[in-house]
Amino acid sequence: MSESATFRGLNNILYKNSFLKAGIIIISFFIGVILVTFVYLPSNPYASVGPDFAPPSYSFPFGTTNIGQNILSQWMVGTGSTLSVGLIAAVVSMVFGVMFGISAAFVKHMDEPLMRSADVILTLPTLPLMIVLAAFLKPTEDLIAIIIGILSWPATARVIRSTSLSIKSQPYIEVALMSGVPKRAIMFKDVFFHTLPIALTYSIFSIIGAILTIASLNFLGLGNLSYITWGSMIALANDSSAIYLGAWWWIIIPGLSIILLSTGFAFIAYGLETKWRSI
Amino acid sequence: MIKMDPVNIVNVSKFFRDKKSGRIITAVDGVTLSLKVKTITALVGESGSGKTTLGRITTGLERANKGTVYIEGKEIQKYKSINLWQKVQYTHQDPYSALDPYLKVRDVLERPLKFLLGISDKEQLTEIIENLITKIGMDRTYLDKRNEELSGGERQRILVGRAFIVKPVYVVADEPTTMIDSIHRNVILGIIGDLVKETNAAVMLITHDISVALHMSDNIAIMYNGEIIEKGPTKAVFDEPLHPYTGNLKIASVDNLIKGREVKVDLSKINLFKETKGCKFAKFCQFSFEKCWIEKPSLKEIREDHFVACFLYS
Amino acid sequence: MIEKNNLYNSTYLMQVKDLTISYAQLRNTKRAVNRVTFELKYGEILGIIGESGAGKSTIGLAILGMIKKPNEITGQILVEGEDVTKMTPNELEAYRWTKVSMVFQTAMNSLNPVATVGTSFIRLLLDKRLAKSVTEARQLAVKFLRIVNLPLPGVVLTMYPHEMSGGMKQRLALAMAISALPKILIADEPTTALDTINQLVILELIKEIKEQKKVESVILISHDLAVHAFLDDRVLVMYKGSIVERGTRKDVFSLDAPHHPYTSNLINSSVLDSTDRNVITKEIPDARKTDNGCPFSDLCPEAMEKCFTNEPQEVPISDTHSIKCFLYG
Repeated sequence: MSESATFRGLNNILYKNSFLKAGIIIISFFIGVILVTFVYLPSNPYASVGPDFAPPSYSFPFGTTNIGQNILSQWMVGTGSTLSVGLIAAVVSMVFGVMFGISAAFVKHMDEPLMRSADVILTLPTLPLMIVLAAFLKPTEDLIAIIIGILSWPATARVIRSTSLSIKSQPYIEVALMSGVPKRAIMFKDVFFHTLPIALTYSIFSIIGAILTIASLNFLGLGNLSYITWGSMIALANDSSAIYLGAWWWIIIPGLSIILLSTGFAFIAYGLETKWRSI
Repeated sequence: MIKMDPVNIVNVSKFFRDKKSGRIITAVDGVTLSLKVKTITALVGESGSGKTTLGRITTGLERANKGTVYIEGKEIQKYKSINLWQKVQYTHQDPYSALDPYLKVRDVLERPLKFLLGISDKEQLTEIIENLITKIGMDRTYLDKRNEELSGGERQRILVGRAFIVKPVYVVADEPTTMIDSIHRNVILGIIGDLVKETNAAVMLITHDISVALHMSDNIAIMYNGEIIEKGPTKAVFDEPLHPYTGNLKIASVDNLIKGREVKVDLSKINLFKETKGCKFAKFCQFSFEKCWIEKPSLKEIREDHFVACFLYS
Repeated sequence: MIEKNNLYNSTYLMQVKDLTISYAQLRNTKRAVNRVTFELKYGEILGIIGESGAGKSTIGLAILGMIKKPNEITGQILVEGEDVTKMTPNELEAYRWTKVSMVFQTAMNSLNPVATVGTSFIRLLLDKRLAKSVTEARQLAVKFLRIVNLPLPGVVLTMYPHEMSGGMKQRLALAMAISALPKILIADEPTTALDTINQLVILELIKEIKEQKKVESVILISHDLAVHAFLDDRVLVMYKGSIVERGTRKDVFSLDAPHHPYTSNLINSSVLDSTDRNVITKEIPDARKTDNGCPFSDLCPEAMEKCFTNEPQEVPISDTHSIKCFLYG
């Protein structure tokens, strides 16, 4: 897109869209935290640097774990890992979603098979399936993210398919055909650009799903527990009976963060979606 | 070598089944028409007359249920897509939805050259494109603009330019001035005229506005309810309209009204509820008689090259 | 409180003074009507010619009191002394349909598709208290259907909108619009989407309705020159929110009379054998145009230096004809 178009586009989208603005602020905050981890961590998240089960204080703003690890450091590292997992899942879901969605709309004999597979996948219960896979395959966090992405392409694909169908009936597609542009080029260049905004919006929905799924898996003790994520923090906290011992900070802080991050993305997705609807 | 007409439309019909009522709607009903090289034929009709459908059938964008369209003597179905688009092009009515907003003007013009004519040499492409953009009255700086930055008039010019850039033998211009304000109307028509002179193409100019036809066309075909009811050289048909419907179009035209001629249409004979098995215009015709309601008149040559489908003359 | 304006001149049925209307859009406001002043006489058909963006439909809506926040409206619209822009919602409710009513281009499509035409019409008559019972309303409906020459009115009342042709629906809309015998009938693009015959029918009807005093005066809004050339007594030519030329039908449509360059272009595009058939306006908008200059300056072939920076005044060419252009004064 040209500079003038994107700039005007962004301005139009942001105007009077408080959901979008709020969402962007939230996500920016978390991204800021990740950027900070590249240059500074209060202390080694794995090392015991303080008293056990210390409540939030000046030296340990988020308190400590059962073996004295700085929860703030863990939380900062966890931000990065949680977000990266979400992003991997979203990218995978978007790639497959767009590819299959556009193909279903433009290639007659691919429509039925693709949409039926989408229906099947949509009926699969994600979490139980992931539990089974995680328990038997013992995959890395990244692989889990990819699998979640693969399981969430149907939602995106459906929307992309209907968008593509309406684009297909537009005169400018006919003009491209009359100019001799090969069908594949029309599908994956022209149509693709027009589905991009909606694809991004729906991918954000899948980020949320991914974050929650991984957190749940971690909480259940699956996945690599030495890899710090917010979910694994809650899992360890629970194992150490943090609630009974009154160490609310160890559970509440990562828990609230998951909610806040998800909400931030949800706001962005909602804000974008209402904008596309009105257009 | 027998010289053949670029376009021969032979007895073309197109039906639709209305989803709600299940009735069969005839959009185009037995149309026969030929277009000659380097001429502009205006296809004049009101909305719903089937003119757009006919235009699209003659460019292969839609398929006829009956009859055939011949492009340079060969049936249109027998052409491979690429070969068809080299010879036949179409411009859409709505310049806003016919141009991909994200594409650059340069892309729009380059694509037919690249994909239909196989030209890949950058210099050659640039030369042809720059040549064309001046012909449509815009300067080279437009080439790098995105379509979304263009006004309606500018877009329509690009659409027309794109259609002619491969030097086709036949172009259908579908209501090219309808969505343009009056200020740019003459400009577009002038451009079409210039491009016809340069490429020797045959053009079908579809319009509901008879003044556009008067302004621009060599021949005219009047379409009513899917049928061609009168056709011939524009001046002849307008000077002496034979079919009552054509007569009404002329009377109601701005040209006529401005020149101060009285408009007297006898509306008393209009019968809204009577069904016709014959001439489709009988309901609204002030000259109708018995035969008109029972039998369908066919196109007959009444004056030189001037055909009309009406029982007043046969 | 209805304000009776002291400046009200009773020879005119309606006076529009310095009317300015701006639409609030996403990031800015767009001025649709710019300080427009004109009058509507008793018993006349006034035409407003303009293309999209000229502001003509906006004026129609304003006369009906339909310009609401966040859109802004300043100036006065005096209908028999009452200022529409200052009316309260109750006053507007009483005013609409009975004093001024409108037939839209899309009137054909705004009928309730699941009710018979009769039901819709009778309901309207009862709502506006033009009849006191269903029987009375039905009789009144039949009477107005006859006025618009719809044959077999009893049968028509039992029909559903989709069973009627475009022309019939438009006539029905006209019947409903005049059922309260309003002083002013506004017809906004009444003939677009109709074929030639039906166009002539509707226009003839409007003429008859006025002559039979079913309405006092008519305001005809359309981009179609033929409609105006056929029907108008007086014409206003609008361009981008301003009136650029006004006069009687003869003044404006005469090929020999002087015209605003925009009007010349409009007319010459439609006339055979016009000597000015070739390009009349600049092909690329002149960038010298400023917001203070004439709205047509960027496309006008006769534009002079001062056209870009100053707005021209309306110059009288004759008693009835005036043109807003520096070419004439």
